[in-house]
Amino acid sequence: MKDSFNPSIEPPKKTVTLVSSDGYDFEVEEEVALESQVIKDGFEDKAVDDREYLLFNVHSDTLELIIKYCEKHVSSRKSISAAAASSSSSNGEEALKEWDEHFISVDTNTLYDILMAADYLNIKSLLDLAIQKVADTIHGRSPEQIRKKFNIENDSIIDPWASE
Amino acid sequence: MMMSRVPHDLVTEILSWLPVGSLIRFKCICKSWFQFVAADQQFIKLKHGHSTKSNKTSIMIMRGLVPRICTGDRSVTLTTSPSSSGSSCFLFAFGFHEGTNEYKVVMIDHYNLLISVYTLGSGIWRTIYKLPNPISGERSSNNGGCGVGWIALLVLLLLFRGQIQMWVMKEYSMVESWTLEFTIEGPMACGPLNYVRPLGIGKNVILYLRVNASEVILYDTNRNLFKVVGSFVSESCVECTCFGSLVSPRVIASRTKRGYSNRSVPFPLHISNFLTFIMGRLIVDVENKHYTQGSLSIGLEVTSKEKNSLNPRQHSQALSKVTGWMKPVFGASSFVCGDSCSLEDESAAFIDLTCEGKTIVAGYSLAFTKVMAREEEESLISQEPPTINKKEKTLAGIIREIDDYFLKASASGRNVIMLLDINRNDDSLYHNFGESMISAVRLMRIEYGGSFADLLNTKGKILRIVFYEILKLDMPPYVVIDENVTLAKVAFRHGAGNMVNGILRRLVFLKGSGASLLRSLVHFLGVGLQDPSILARML
Repeated sequence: MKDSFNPSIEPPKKTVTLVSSDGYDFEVEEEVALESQVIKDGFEDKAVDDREYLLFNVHSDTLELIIKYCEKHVSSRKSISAAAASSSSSNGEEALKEWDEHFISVDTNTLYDILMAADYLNIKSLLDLAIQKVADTIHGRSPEQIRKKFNIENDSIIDPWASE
Repeated sequence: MMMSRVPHDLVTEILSWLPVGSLIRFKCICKSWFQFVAADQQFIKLKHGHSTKSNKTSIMIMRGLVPRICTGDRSVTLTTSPSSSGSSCFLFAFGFHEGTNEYKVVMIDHYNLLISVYTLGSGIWRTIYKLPNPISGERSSNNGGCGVGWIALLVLLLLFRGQIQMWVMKEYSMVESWTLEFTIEGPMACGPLNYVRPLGIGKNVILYLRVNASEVILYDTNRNLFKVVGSFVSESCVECTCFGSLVSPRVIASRTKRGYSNRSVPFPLHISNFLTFIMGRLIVDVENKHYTQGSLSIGLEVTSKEKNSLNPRQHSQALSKVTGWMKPVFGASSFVCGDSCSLEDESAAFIDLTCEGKTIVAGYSLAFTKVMAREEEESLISQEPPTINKKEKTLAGIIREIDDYFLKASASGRNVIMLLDINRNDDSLYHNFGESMISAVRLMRIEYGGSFADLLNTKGKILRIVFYEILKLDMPPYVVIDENVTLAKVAFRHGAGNMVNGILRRLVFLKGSGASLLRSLVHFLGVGLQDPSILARML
């Protein structure tokens, strides 16, 4: 951020429109949208009035969550750097971590949607968060539980249950 | 949630964050997961990166008169560097070098100011990197002491004129790349200590051990804060820190025989790759007098609430010591020990278990002098088994008991904690139930079954284990076969792998084809494989 950051003379915020797979429009600030590496790549090449992204793989429910996540991260990044500049101690990072933790505590299907969307949009931090979460849910379960949970077919040579 | 729709690379990523124990278990979920865990080199590397990057400590340190590493089934006595004779200022560290996929032992001679590196499998000490420049000007031993560690990189911690300096060798084997990371000053840094030892380094955090004061200290470099996270009393404490890896040091070390001395193969124990390998932390506390009597006590982290139900007389001291200073540091996080450390020629301790937050599958300590000698002669089977305790249980009895425990446990799905100490004279089998770990059955059977002199001896160990798994536990056959064929190759003479493979495939085939034969097989297993010829006839 610029040193001479002054809210009063700030130009009107640029926005980007994200369109979910089921046709809803989401207008978000440019900064927030740029959290996604996919949007960031080639962002400059696009005309300013043509900044609309069709996200075929992301449902509106998921997109809403993802935008919430990005907004939170953008804003808290600002506040952390502001706190660092004024050398006041803050536990912004820890608070953010807590927020993340809360954010990702969702049911399996939502988690899966978030995971896929984060992968599709290439949002590194969210992807890591989701991956970690999935790993945590897996860990400590029995193989059978995992198969059930993730709908994995047991493709071993002979299915021990098939003969029954 | 349809995992099948998740892209391949995401699955890899997810799996790579799992603790080793879980991974091994998940091998049997489906073929593609099996591929990852068992064979995928990329995956193994990825996993390694995560293990070492996480805040869990990622090195193993050994201290002792003889540098020696036990890697599960055999211990490696390292030939001491020629330049080191006569001097006694050694410190050792053990670690995994990601770049070369090798385990290395570092020895620092802080009298002559040299660092030697031993690569597991190569069998030779390679000198020698000089200490960082500013230090080599002075004999550091005059001013304090130093510790060396291998925490992803070669790390040197020096106590130097009342302050601690941390040096890191950024590029392996480049003397120029020694970098002074930071200096710790303050009352906690100095004090009456001979040397300090780095245990782990996280982001902005360093964990080190003051050897003299026997304190583990956490130092936050950002806030300049010290925190004593624990202390232990015993002077004669050997301490090591391990981390999870799918690469077994044994595999690497077995590339060449040069590293082994004749006497240093105390374990006829073979771990197939299901327990490779290490994560967490293990402390062996050696009371001198006990030690000379040939016994060791091992402390394990027991995060389970049931730890009080362990026999207080035997293990509580060691346990509390361990839990006392481990848990604050590492939390109740994943924790698998698969490595071991050894103290001197006749004694070694081995731990091989999974304890993920609340689980320990099995921990046991052995004093080998007697048992080992017998096993080495491969004559255990024909002799009376050694007396285990006052109840005079036989080995076979113990095995049966253990089997029962694990089978019960796997049925109940609860935690298992089992501590077994065959050298003591009183009750030696303690257990709590819990999450099951089938492999443990195999492990224990193998361990107590003697030297594996014969595949088809009176107990038919490998085969029995496999039968258990395929028939009773319904594990996917390809996993079982794979593991056991590997096991047989390691454990027996040449060709045993093929034989096991043949028998097992036949078994699987039979299992798929009909029921009556199966029933007789199960029945047969129930009474034990008394006679190999029965088996031969049946198949």
